Amino acid sequence: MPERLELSATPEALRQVKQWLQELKGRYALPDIIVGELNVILEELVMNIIKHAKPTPPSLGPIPVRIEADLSDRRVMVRVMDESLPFDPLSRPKPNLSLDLNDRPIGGLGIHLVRELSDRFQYSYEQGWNVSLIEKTMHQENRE
Amino acid sequence: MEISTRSTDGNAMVMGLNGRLDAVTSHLFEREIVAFFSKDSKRLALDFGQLDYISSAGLRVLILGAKKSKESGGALVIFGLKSHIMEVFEISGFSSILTILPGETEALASLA
Repeated sequence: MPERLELSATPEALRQVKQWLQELKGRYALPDIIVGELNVILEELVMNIIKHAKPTPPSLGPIPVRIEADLSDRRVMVRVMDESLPFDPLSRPKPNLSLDLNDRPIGGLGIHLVRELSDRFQYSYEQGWNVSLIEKTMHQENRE
Repeated sequence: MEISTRSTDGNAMVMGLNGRLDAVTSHLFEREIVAFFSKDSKRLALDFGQLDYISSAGLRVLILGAKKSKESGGALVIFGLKSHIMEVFEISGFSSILTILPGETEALASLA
């Protein structure tokens, strides 16, 4: 994982993620479509940490967040890590997309987007850190 | 993100979003759309032609807006989506709960 970004779980992190992705785009010549989808994935995972993560006692927060990325011309692997109590984003219920407007809840689509926009999404808890591993394959139509 | 609103020949309004609709900016859009459907004129076409990015924070406000539109007896349509925004709509199951049209002509015709 040669690329790394250190953050705190605050809304400011979203601006830093966006800027970091622009740097990676330049360095690895990433297609716009991949950068956009990675941005959504990272925004959703970071917002999930901001909303749901509980600091590990005796820490009071803000919660440390680390994002690592390993990029090649065939795939992107990203690890989003936060040092807090165990919290598995994959345990969140899947939204029911067949409900009509009256019955659709207003939120609850964030982790759904991560699942749908990634080719692999795994969770583990490693030495006090929640780790979400995301893999995106560069499909033929995404290459430039 | 910038939000601009303009009136049309008919009684509909067009609200254009320019830039990124994300967790940082979605509250601005929420304020505009909630205010819109609390007023007298309630027919709104959302112009997404200049929208480059949307996350679940933006999707949330669209569901909220669609509900407000229905509750208030108004109408809401969206047009001009870029293909990657349309992809996010599709994986969110939005085509069955929102009216999505290709361009402004079709959008305003549906609101007339």
